Amino acid sequence: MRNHIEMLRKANGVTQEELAEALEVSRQTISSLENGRYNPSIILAFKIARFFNKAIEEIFVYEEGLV
Amino acid sequence: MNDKKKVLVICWMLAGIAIVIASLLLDSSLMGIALGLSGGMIGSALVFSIKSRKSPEQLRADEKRLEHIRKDERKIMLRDKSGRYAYIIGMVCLLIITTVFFILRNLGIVFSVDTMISVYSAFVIFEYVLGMVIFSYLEKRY
Repeated sequence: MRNHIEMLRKANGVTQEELAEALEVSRQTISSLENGRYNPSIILAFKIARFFNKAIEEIFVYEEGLV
Repeated sequence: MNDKKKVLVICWMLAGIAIVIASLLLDSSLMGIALGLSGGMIGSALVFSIKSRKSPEQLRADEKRLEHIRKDERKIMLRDKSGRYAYIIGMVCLLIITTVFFILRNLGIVFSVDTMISVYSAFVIFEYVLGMVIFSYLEKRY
């Protein structure tokens, strides 16, 4: 699943470490999310959306066949 | 390290020392395994007490970092996945080992219990290492 996490993170001036700390996950998880290697659970997706003050659909792009 | 943990570590170490003394005095055939067990108990108590010689802030930071790793959903997923793959490979290996032992026994080759204990002990170590290797591979992939 494609996402805009890296773009939003950089726009907000947040490091991967800081984002990981805020979301209570490891830095490797943030890296995997940004590279699209890992799809988050619904709970983590909500946490990310809340952190950036955006809707989930604005951050994650769901396309058939890509998941 | 809080008082309760200190008491537990001391009791653990004293139990290990007691097993060493008992096994040396009683001179039983189980001396080997008793000394191994006590060595593990004393060693782990020493390692734990040395690692705990950190400032309370450092210990809190370590605990927080470990909690993130424990609760991190991606790592939980990777641990589950690597455990499942290690289990499947382990079952296949056990099947092969048992079949080989069966065939060799029927061909007249007699195995001592020591040989079988060594083989199965090696399998346990193999399974542990296999789990770690699979986890590392999956961590790079996901």
